[in-house]
Amino acid sequence: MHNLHLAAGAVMVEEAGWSRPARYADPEAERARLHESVGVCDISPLLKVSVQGDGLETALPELEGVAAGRLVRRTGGAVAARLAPDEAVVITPPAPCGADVSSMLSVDGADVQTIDITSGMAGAAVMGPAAGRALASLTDLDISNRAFPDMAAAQTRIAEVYGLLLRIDRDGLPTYQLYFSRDFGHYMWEALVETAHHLGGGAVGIEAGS
Amino acid sequence: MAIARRDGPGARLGVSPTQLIDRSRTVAFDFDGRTVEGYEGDTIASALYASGVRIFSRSFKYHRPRGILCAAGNCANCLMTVDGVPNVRTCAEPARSGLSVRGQNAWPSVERDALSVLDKLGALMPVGFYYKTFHSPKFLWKMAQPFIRNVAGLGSLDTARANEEAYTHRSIHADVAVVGGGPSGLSAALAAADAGARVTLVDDQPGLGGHLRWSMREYEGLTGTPDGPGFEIGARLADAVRDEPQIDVISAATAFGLYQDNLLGVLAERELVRVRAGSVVVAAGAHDSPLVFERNDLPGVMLIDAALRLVNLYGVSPGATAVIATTDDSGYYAALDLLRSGTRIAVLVDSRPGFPHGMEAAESLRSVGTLILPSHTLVLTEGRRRVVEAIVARVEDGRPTGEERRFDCDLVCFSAGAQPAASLLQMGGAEMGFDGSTGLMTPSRLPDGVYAAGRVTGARDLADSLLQGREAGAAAARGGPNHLPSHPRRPLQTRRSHESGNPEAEAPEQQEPASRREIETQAVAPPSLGPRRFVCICEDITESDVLQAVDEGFDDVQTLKRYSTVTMGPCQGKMCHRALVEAAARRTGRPAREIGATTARPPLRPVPLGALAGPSHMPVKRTPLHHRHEALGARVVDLGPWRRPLWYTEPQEECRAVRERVGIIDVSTLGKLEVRGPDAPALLDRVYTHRFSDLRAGRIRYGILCSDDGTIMDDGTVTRIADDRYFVTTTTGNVDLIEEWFKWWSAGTEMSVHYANVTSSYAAINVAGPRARETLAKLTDTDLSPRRFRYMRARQARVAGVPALLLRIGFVGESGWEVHIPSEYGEHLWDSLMDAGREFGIAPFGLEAQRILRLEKGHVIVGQDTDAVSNPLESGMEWTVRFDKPDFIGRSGLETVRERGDRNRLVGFVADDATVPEDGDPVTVEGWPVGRVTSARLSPTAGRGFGLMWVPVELAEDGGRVHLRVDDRDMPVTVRLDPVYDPEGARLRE
Repeated sequence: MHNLHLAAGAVMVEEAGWSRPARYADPEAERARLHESVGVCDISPLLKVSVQGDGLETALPELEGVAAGRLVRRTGGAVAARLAPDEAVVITPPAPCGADVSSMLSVDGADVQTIDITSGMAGAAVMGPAAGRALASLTDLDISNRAFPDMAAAQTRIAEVYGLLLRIDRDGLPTYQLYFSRDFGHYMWEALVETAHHLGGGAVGIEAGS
Repeated sequence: MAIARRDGPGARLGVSPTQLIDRSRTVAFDFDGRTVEGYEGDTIASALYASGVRIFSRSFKYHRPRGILCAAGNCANCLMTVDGVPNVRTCAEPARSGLSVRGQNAWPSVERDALSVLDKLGALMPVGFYYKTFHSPKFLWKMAQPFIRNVAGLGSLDTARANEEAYTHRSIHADVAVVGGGPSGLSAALAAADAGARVTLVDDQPGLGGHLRWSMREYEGLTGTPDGPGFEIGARLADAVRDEPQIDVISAATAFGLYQDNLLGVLAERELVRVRAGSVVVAAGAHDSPLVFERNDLPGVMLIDAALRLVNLYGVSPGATAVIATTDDSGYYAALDLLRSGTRIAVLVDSRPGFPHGMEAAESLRSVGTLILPSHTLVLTEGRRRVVEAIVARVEDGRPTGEERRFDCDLVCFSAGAQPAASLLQMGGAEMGFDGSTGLMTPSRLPDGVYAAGRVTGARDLADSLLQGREAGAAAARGGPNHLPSHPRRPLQTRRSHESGNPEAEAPEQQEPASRREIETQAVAPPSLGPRRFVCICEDITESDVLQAVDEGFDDVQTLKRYSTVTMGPCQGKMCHRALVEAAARRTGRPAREIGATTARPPLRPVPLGALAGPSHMPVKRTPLHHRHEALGARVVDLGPWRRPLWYTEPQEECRAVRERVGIIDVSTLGKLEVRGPDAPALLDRVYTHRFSDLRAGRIRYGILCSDDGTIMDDGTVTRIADDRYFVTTTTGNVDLIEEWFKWWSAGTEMSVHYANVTSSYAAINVAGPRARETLAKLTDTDLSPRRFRYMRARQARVAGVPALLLRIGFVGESGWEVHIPSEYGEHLWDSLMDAGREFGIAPFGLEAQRILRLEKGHVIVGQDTDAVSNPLESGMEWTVRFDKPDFIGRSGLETVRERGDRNRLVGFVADDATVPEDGDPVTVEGWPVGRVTSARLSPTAGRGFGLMWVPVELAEDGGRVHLRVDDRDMPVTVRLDPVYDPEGARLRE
């Protein structure tokens, strides 16, 4: 997606070794998008770790009693999404490449496998009052507030691509995070931004979007 | 509430509360070169009609002039090309300033169409003429084809504009979906919302209310709504629905299909909406259907509802003098509305016998002196380009007598009765039955989760529709039973009931077979002769065509439909189904109920393919190095979802770079799986034919995966990173399948093994060639020397400052490394390698060069050289099959092959010269095919054609000669069991 950001005239900034779009043109307009229609923000650099194993609740005690399809907040701005009884994905702010994820998550000793999937999964946040409408044009999943409320998680197909969909509202602003195979990054970014355009929205940089 | 005719051109009526037009805002658009003015709120058709246009299209076959027929978006009569988009239903398309509107299927214009000469040549186009005409002699078809191609079809596409048609898609989930915004649909939506359901209501009109929108009829005594005219009742219901937050309304949208699991396809203006509902209430109403009589297609002849829409919605007078032909009460109410609008009623003919005493509208008409003729029907209209005269005849025993009367008129309003719009129900699996009391095909049994209400069930009055709507809506929300509404049927009134003044008292008797037969014939236009009695107006099929088709043996309604094409036009049977059934019934002498119904299939209404396609979401995979390939000007090809470079310069040259210097290729598309856990070795031993439990950490082994029957599924390398951790590569397209396969064989076992698909986590670059070591050494501290980093070994090390996994493998047959690196650093690694290798003459190589190079090494590509029946034993890879280990997937199949012995072998061949056979060319013995070439290329090192082929085992002898059939001649080639390049693999290990 990096090349698309550059082509869209993004001002890039460095964060934890990642080059990220700070803003495209006018950060005020980007903020307005978030509150009036829909903004799409590249969140690929977030650290994503797949945690699998019978010791899941030992490793991530906050998942105790949390059903599959829901997520919980962890300390340090992280979230853990439970996908199955013995599988979860932990998402944290960006970290330098090659970090030891099992010690970072302090899951050493538990009967789990931790696999860093950061490089393999690109991500995009779709935010704003029209975010649900935007996604409804890309997925068959019922993403209405009733069926897919804040802190819901699902593995589903979005714009014909299988991925992970999380709902993490920010200050009441409907926010969906999508994670999908990095190879589809270019394609998905175009699909999401085009969909946002139809609804009067568009891409937002991290100044507005995070 | 009389509406005074307003003077001046355009024949617009005075203001009335049902009208949609805003007279303060005019719109102007171009119609075939002249400017037409209308008001905001007009449709294109209503504006055209108001400005005097009567011919809206030319018919499909005979190019007869056609005018407005339904004004409801059902028929094909008003299809025009609007702003380059063909087949727009102008009676449903809002008039907007600046539109360019063109008549279709005519030259030079619909008003004066040269091809109307075809109308005189009807005999050349008998029913089923597609099957009969122009077939012999053959040369005739060659001459006729271009003409037919040119003349046939409806409208033409402006290919230059094709891409501008952008439709979006949207999914909606609802507890209850209601189709139809009429009284029953609105009350169903309200009842369902009352019961707590999320409701989506789909209506094909611009405003809610259904037929109540243009109903001036006074109603009283309805439950839950004050007395008043129809449009007020409709407006109240519509307001209640709009105020209900649980109801989501999609207006001006057609539900064109009901699919499995209550998925509704809905076409809105620029959007395709998929509505997935817990239950569906179909309240699609009914539409008038035409009577069949001579020249029933003349402009000025229209359905009763069409005239009412023109008057009450758009304030357009449909004509000065009308003849009304009806088979039920609706004609009387319509006549009142027309009278009020200033149209003179020349006569009202009713096919039913006897004056309908007790019907308010009929009494009112009589009191103002309107001529009403019971037991009469239309038999003929006169006029060339529009109707000028109608001839009616008295009916006796269902047949017109010679007692005819002529009436001058410029408008004929007719209806053979309201036909339930039950197609969606049929698509959902409803059974249809012939309701003898009404003469209608109505649903007789509904599928689970599908409900029906209102006129679609045959309900005939507003009280029933409202009640049915409430019941269906509540039941749909609760998941209650969906039996068909038990409304008291108010049958077509017969003479007896009219005379007794108490129709309900007669209702039970209507169920008797004897009286039912009587009613069946009532709705039927009495048979009479005439060549222009149109059954199917879309496709120009006349009654005599249908009768002839029946005589030719097509007496089943399904085959009759296919042969005659009736019901197959744009209206999809809405206008013609009833007349088709009746004509068939009459000719075969069977009752209409036995004729049955044609099958309803989506789409109910023409749907642009662009709407189904929607925004172009063709998922494309790009490797992390994609932009480098583009910058190098690579020829990029689509391989499955991937876009991959085929070559950068020239494949043979790229091969030489690898053989002589050093080359790099992007192999990021390789499937990559992490397999972890204490039981990972056991799992791999089970799914692969090879053994991996004894593989030491840091080593690589090639492996083949077989399916249960021992045929090859996939291949790849397995690298042991640690005791409980393997790095597995698969072929490019198969990684998802293999991940599933692993999970399948570990699920339900006690094995502790976990998987992660890390395909896109790593960019991978293969650095290969005699100078590969020197190139890579400049970027890493790890010792790459032949003795310290052997062939088929793996090591984790930093390359160009980034943590990487180095695999020493050699698909292309040179010493080299596959470098896996976090994908975000892919471009960094590529650039670093290109810089480091510059002094050694490094060159990127593409897929084509890789295919040539691997072929020289005899390395197999699964799926290219093997197929669904190939096994590793015959493919020359016996060494990967370990019969000495416990059970593995495919073992028994492979044991069978081992016992019976090889039948065919995959072997190499070399041609005598540079001739290169095609992939798939046959291997022949004495001219008979015995095998086939799987891959063939020109060898850059040998300068000869070579490749791999399947041959019978007896021919698999090194140095043997076989023939390939290339371009229809036999070409001798030499069998090679060893690779043509570096047979000992010395270069690999260097």
